[in-house]
Amino acid sequence: MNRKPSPRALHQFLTGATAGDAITDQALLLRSWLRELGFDSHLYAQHIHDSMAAEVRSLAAYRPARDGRLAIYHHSIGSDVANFLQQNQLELLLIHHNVTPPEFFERVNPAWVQLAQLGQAQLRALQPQTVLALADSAYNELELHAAGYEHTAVLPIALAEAQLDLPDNEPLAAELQGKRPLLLFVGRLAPNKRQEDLVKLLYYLRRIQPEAQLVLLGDRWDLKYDVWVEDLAADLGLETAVTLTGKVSQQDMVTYYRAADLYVSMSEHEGFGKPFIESMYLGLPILAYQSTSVPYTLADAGVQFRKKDYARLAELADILVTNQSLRQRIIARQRQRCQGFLEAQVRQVWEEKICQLTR
Amino acid sequence: MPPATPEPQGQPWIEIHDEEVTASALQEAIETRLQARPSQWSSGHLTFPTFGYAAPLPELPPGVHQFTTLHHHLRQLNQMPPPDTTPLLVESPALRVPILGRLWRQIRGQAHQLVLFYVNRLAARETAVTNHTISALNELTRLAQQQQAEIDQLRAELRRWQPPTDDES
Repeated sequence: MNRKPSPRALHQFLTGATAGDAITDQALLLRSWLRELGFDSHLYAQHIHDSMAAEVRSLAAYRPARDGRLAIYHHSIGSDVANFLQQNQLELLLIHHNVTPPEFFERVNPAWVQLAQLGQAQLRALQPQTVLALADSAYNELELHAAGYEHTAVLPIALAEAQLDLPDNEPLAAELQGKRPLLLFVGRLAPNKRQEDLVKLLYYLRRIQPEAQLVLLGDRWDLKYDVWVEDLAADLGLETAVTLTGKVSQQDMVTYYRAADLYVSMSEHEGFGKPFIESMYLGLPILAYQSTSVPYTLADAGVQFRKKDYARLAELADILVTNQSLRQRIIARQRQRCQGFLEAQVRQVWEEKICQLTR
Repeated sequence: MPPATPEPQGQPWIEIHDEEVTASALQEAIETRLQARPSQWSSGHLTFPTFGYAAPLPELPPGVHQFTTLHHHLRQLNQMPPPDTTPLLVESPALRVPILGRLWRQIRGQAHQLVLFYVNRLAARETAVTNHTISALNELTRLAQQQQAEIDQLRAELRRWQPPTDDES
């Protein structure tokens, strides 16, 4: 009797898995591509949110495969996963999503400082067992080089068109129609994302556009930064003008992108900046502080700035909201830019790398 | 916070790639708009507080004795650990009773979770209050020390300008 040969195993390891998280989404996409290439592929994580319980296996459930010592590891923070991979002496295809520098947590949470420092140390420690290191931006690739990696390439976060081509949540869209102009930022509430600076910008913009609103969409996290942002908004008399949505459904997120007038970012540390490619795809003009990976992801699209001068930025935001012809040209350039992040393009890069490694 | 990307010298602070508008033209337009705004706008630049534990325990300058007691209390306050808001469900003999014990454990567990929900909320609020208070006291102490140093310096200056008294001459 002819037995069908068992597929080669190529599994992915993550620190945490939660629905809507950029790294988890990428791991799920890569898993589907690997399976279509004929690999037996699963996700293993140390921390698994209930929303991912059916998709992701616990790290403790991993058994080393007989037919392959290669594993894919998504690196973003210090964790036991890196130690586990070292102990199991697996060869790694490392995907570097960037570690938020510990300085951002120094006055906030000592535990996060330690995790960030550990993440930086683990990036260096994993270099000897890594056969290829992929970075999701050219900025992250520079970090890989600084950590001693030689065999590197860029694999951007793919833009999942199907997840963005959703219809609006009509009641929400109708509610947002009354909030004009609407500024939007997407990302978890974190000190490095500097949502507080967006509140300051809104304060200045409302001197020009008294009805302007700001929506901060993203996980509130556990650093109490969300409370700080809300308190600051209240101090400035903006409690009704600033909305912290927390985590929302994919459909609601798309509705916010479509309803907003301007995507604004004051973030001082981004490893890639997935909301930028989502904004570009959904036709929302971007005004972003030029830091870390932002100029690599935006390239010649959107409008970037290098100085946080709120009075001037408010004027610039007002121009971008009201000058229709400029808006249309910005949107057109952004649409052009985001073509490079579409699934087909990213998948091609991915499959080339996988074939080189596994043939 | 780490320093932001340094501003390149002589470059516009805006970057835009557009067929019709350059960064310089956009900056000029912004300056023109600003000049047309009410004059009180330009004079009223706000300063904003910083997120986090804004005021760490200040160092006690050597040779300064006015703040010794204050520093003792402040040091104690800064070293106190935040309250643990995750108390455990304590075991009880009743839980070992067959069948009923399991049911009792479930009821007790649910009731415990409900209490915990409110206790955690309260504790989190109290922790925030404590953190703000400590931070405010640290900042006040730092300012008081700074002002004391300035007063001492001014006094010394004043002494230099005062004519010597008969006793000193």
